[in-house]
Amino acid sequence: MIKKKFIMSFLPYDYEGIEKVLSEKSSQGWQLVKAGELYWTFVQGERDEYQYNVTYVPSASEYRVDDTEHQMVLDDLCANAGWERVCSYRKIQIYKNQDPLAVPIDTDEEQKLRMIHMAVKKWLLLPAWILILFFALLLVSVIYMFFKRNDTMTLEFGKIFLCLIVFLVSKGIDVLNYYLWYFKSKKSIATAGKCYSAKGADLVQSINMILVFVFVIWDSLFLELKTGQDFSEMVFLIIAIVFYQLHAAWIKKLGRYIGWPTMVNRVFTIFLSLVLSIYSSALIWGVLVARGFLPGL
Amino acid sequence: MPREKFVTLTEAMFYILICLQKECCGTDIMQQVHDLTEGRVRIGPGTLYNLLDQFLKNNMIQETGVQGRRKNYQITQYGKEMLELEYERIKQLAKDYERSMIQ
Repeated sequence: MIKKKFIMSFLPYDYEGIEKVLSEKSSQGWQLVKAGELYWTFVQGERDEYQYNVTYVPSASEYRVDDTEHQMVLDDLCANAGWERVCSYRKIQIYKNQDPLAVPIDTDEEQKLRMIHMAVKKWLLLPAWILILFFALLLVSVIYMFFKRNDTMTLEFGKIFLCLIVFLVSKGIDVLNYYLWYFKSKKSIATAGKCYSAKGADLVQSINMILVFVFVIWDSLFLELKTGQDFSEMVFLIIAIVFYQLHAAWIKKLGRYIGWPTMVNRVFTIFLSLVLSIYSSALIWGVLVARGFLPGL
Repeated sequence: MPREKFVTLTEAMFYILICLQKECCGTDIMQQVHDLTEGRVRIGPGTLYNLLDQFLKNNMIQETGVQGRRKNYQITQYGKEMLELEYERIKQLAKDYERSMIQ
């Protein structure tokens, strides 16, 4: 059995996009078997025209050992309607059905939007608001230190100030993007329509990420090099963010395997990932400095 | 204009409450609604689960029996009143329509 891994990037509320990609892959002979943090695993089989449905379960958690009662009862109801559960990913459950005339899992758009909103509040909005608050507090501290020191605008302060503004705006766009989609969907449903397509939101998100990426490259290569400053802090930050995602993925999985309670798994994953990512980044940074790729302190 | 929650019922809500006038379980409701409406109204399993959950929270239905993960439900007195209100509203709509046709 040939397995292939694909990196799937989508907005949490873009269920239509997920369903479309899964159906396309199914018609090419690739069936989804597992959805992970870093990639989704597909196996090659016959070219089947499976219909995929994505439904939201707000009580589900990637830190849980077992399924919630909601997930299990939903499985039974779906099985009765011919829907087979493929896998779960965070707060979504993915089902497939070979019958093209099968009743969709969610037939009431108002209920569907309600479940999406409950799931996205925990999945996207809460972490985004925490980061916005964090960046805002840092920004206030930087401004306070700048005025307290009575310095003229040094390049260092200016750089940190600009970075914080960019990250703050980027996170703000994430939140705004969602709420725009949510209120458009609500308006559409109020006049007997469907949830709004997330294609536009997806495009905004892509532009958002590209702009942050361009800023990071510009800051690291252009601004730093032109002014003779070293860009090692930016490299350190980027490596730390990548390592955080990697460490969080395996620690979460380990916690589930050991059988930790959900809250213990969540706290431990966040704390340990933070510590390990800083340690791993410092190690890599040390190696890069030792080999002369980065200037030292 | 947005629909106020449970002041007016959607078709799915209406038919689920009709089915729950007799005790039955979630898996049977989908088939019963299909049979009652001759296939016109389709309720997906996800929608059914969410509505049963909301009805329970709003005291419109109650659990009458549990066998493993299979739960039986039945409409409460309050649920019957909401169903009756919706039925009266639909009758009024039909009367208004008939009156407008006569004129």
